[in-house]
Amino acid sequence: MPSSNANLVTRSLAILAKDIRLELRSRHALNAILLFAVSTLSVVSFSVGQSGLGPHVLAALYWVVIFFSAIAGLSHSFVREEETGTGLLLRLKADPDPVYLGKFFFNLMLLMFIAAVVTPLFFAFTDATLEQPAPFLTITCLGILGLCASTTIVAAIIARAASRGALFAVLSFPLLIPVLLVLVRASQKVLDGQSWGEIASEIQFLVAFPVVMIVGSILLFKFVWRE
Amino acid sequence: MWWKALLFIIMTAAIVAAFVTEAPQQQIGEASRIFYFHIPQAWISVLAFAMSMIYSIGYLRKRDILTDGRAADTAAIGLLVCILAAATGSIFAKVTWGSFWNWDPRESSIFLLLLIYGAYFALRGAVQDENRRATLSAVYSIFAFLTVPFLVFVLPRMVPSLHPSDSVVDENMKFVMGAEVWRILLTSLVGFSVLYLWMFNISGRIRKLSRARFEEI
Amino acid sequence: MDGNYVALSVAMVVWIGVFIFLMRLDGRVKKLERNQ
Repeated sequence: MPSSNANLVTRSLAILAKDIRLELRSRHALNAILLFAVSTLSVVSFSVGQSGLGPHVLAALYWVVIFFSAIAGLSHSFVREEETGTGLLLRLKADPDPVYLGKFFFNLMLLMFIAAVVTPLFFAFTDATLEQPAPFLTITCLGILGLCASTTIVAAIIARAASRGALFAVLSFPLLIPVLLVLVRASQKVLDGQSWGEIASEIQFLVAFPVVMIVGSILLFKFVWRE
Repeated sequence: MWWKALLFIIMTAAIVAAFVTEAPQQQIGEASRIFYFHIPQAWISVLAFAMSMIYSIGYLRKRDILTDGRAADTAAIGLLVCILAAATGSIFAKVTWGSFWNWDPRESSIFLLLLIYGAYFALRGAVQDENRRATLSAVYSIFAFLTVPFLVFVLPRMVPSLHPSDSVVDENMKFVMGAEVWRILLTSLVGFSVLYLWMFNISGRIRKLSRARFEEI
Repeated sequence: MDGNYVALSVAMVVWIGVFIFLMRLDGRVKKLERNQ
């Protein structure tokens, strides 16, 4: 079915809009992910926030919070389709590409929102210091892009299987290890006061990774969707 | 068949040589002998995973359930060998550097591979329908394979302060490997590869047989 | 050197065991294939 680019964009946006509307109505994913993020952050802050742990540990803790929030919330958009029974209808009516893009951007917005909440709180409740926000923000945004790029198709895969919650974590974690390692390392450097020059190779990685994952996802998604 | 006898001779030769000749890496000493087995195991576990990915692509194209079965078989062999590789690697690490696990890039790659294998079989276990199981695990296998180059090739170049242990082994493999050491390693590598192919071949034949038997019914 | 001979024997025992197992399995599979 030939579809012009504009058509693809419109249809993806339609799916995105639908998901946002549904989410705002019930707020399941939002609540899950927000609750998780804030509680984890509270525990971190309470126990070690002011202990002078240094950039290494703090960077790792930051990404632990983000990563586990992602695991808590990013499977909802696909799982909900299956649970409410709308999955079948969507499969009949929509092409795979707009569905993937719509849900990918939904996940992206969800995780960006969480990061927007968690990040200021993180700096408020721990003794992490940031001399230059720009590198840190770039790393975080690229990281979130990477996390969503890998997990969206995994969410689609597990939505059609049993034991979804645990399976989502089990399948996602190996795929996210490379990007997590790089994210933590890059964040460590920035929290330590280093700047763009020292994180150049990490940035390259963090740009290449989501690109490869998204392209791969788009190519493979049609097989998952049509099953 | 002749090649089985040859396989036996090759592996036996490799095993004997591994223990009878001088230890390959003098600084580390006797424990370095394990690398004659550890390196082929690591290689086979990656090869098996690549084969699984290739058969997965084959399944998505032709939808032949036997192809999916073979993808799962090679993944099973790969998982087994990967566990061996991780075990021999950490024994070596303990003996040589005092701790079982250090998270240097090479160790991390084996760990990653282990997790991917585990995830693959967890996914297969969670889907009842045969065709859906085949499709979903095929997609995961291919997608997971995309991640591997990032860890294996990109990361080590990015981590300048490699754990000193790994650079010792690295040096050893890069230029100090004497001709004899290289010969023994190569022999072991060939032996393990043929062993893998043999196991994969047997498993494929068993699969075909059981499918034929199933179809009779 | 002693430790090496022990390791060598263990390795050989394992390898011979694996080899015999695979030979037997292969033989049984071949027989089943012939009966097909």
